[in-house]
Amino acid sequence: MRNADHRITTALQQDAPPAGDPAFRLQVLERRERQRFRRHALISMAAAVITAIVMVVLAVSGGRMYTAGSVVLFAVVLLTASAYLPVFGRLIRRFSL
Amino acid sequence: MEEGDEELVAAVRDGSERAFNVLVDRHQQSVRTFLRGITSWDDADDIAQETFLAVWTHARSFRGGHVRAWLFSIAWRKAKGAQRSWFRRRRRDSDYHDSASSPACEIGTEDRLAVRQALAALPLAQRAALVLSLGCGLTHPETAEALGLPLGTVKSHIARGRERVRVALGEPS
Repeated sequence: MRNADHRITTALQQDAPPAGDPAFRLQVLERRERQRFRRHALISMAAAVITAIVMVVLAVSGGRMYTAGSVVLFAVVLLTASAYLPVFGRLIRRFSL
Repeated sequence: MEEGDEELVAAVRDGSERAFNVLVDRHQQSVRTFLRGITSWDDADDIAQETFLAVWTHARSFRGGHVRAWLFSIAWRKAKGAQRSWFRRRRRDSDYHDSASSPACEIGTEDRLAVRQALAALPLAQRAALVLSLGCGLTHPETAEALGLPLGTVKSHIARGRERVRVALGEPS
């Protein structure tokens, strides 16, 4: 049994990646940035589309839906800003503002 | 002085890039060794990257305990998900030459390949328990925490897996 354990452990250790692997860390960071960029792009695009729709509706209604339109636009701005909050937080921490 | 894993996770939760880098550097080897033991080499690195991405985005979900076991539990969930994923299965089937070009074969010995084949024949949970226990040096309770299984089940997985590998390797009992 001990010999089998030893063989398994040795085989797994021989297949192990190096202890320090900057290339792997860079791949993780690159993937994280790509994911973040995609999320921000999606949110910005959705905000732009909703804003455009609200503007069109406001223009067509001749200002009758001004209050509802303003509320929707305000919500869009809030949601978009909340998506970027972590970025602002990091910037503030980095520059100790 | 070197920071503890829990402090690093707390810093990652606050958005510290430095802490994240240290955490990745410190644990990438064991997480990748575990995943290489239970999936293909290409999938292993892919899933390991997803694991660390999940650490970055879900650091808040860490509720204390062993950070290493928490990392392995994320990797384990992702590995199970990948097994079920049709897209990954398809890619794995079409890239059958991967295993031939992996470093394991370039520098591999017959014994190593025999162990890998014996491990590959085990059910996934048994394989994972055995790799965590023998390959990554986790204790049985840590293995149970990582796999989300009762301690008794993990002990029986390890005993059965070990026995099956021993038989496959042709060792006397």
